[in-house]
Amino acid sequence: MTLVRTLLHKPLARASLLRPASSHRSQFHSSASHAKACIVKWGYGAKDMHVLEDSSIIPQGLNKTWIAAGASHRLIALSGEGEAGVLGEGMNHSGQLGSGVRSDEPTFSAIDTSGMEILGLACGREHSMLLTRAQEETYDDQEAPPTSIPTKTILFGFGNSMYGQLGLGGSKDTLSKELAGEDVPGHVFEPSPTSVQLSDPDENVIQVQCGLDHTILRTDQGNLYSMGWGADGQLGLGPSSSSDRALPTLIERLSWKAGGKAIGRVKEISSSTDFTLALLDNNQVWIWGNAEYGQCMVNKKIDRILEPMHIPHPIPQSEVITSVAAGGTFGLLLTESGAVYTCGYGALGLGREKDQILLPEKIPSLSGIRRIVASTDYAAAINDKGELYTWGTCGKSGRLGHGDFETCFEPKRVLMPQESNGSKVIVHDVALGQDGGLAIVEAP
Amino acid sequence: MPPRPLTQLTLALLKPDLTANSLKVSKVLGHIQQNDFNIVAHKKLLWSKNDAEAFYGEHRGKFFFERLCGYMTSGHFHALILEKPNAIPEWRSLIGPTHPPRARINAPDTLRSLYGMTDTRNSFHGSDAVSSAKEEIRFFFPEYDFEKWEQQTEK
Repeated sequence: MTLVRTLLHKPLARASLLRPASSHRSQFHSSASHAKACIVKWGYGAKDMHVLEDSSIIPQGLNKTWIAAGASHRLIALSGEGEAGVLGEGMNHSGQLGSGVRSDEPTFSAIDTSGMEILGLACGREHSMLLTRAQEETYDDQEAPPTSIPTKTILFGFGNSMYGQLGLGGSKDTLSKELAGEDVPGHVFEPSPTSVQLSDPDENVIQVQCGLDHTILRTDQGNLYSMGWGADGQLGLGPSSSSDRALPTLIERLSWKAGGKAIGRVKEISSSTDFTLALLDNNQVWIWGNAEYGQCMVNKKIDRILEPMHIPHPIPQSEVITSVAAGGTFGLLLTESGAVYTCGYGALGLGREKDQILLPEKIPSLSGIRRIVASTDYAAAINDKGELYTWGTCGKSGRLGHGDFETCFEPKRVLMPQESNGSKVIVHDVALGQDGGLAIVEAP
Repeated sequence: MPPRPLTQLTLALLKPDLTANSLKVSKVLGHIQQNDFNIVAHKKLLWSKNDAEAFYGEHRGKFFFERLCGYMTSGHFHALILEKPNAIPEWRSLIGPTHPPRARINAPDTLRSLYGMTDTRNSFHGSDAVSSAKEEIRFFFPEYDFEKWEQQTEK
């Protein structure tokens, strides 16, 4: 583990963490820890796949808990005995690897997260979000606070904030002042993980999602906040608002603080490119942002949706929606039965002839699916056997992981390098960036 | 001997999302050279909101005006004067259709298919006519002596 130890040189502000309670684990998007698993990377202009452990980019034997991929950078949360960190890899033009420095060439970095539990990682085009809380083992004394007190979480942002997407106060509006040496609320290019503050210090972020240039936060008090680019309604702030925001701003329509309780509680958000899908605990699906390809699932194209809009149950009544995934020009719905529905434009998974639909259709070749992930113009699904399928457009990126540069109009199984000798592998998670992907893969 | 084809100038932009990735910029400059464009002038710049609104003034009032200006002020970008016989249509044909998601299906070998991101972040610009090329070159390269170039090419 020496590599991680040498790479880990940027301790986060651990002192600011409050004592966590032992419950509330279930409110977080689940993440398992996989010691025997490896990280597999593909795309980025190459046809073949790489096991990062094989090239000693990652030491053997560490737990992998979270992966995320941006336009040209990737983050991997690792933990081992007594140490934990987030490994960053790729472009670092805006400091999106969080190593404390910026660089114009691709590089590696690591953020020390010892003593913290990681609750989420998300990457935008050139920005990154890291959601943490103090590890429970650190506070196992008898005076731990009662379980009714929510666990204090800390959200860190780093990288590019030209649109305000880090939520630290800085944006292109403050850049000239910053360059002139004046005091500014937050750096526009922030290479060090910096804590993002909500106005109420007792409110905790429990999920973070990044579009290409915006960020959406979900909190334990039933509220949603957004920051970054708003021109297409990415921030969901209302019919008269399409301006950028450099601080977390309440999405009133769906937030309990502003009467959203009558609608329901958001249990999952999925954001990529320029729009967001939200799934409520009453199984309603809502959308805001760019919908010019009909990804809004209401039988028409809408250039931009400035305020969250309810999508009346767009699939057969017998199907219960359990997860949502926002792609660039399409959206995905996962059902309790393991079926995947898609809607919008692109290589949708419905064959070459059907590249534009305005109401969701079931992808016939997928069944038994337990997880869906979508990015700009391509998508992935993992079934209950741990098999990964991808489909979408490709360019010359190799991002579908099929060993070629072909666009796939129907889902195709991704064969992991460990399978070349006939071994059975289990894919635990997948992250899709602009030009390639990462997966947590367990091989025997 | 066939007559020498008339050379032409066009204005090319490598927009902010592309410029943010130095590896991709190198690859695109490679495409430009492989396709026999002569790079006559090249500069990197960062626009203010006013700069963007001045250049895209003709689109004011359209639904995409706000996002176009927001995008073009989101980071540094490259402006180039490219020279080649039929530079204007040749560059536009190399970059491909306006919308990268459509280009990836219908024109997979174009630069927007390979390097473009979204409809707004479409990564490239090319002048659409001789008159606009001249105006755009003057906008980005006021110091460039267009008349001198015209006199030289007419000889």
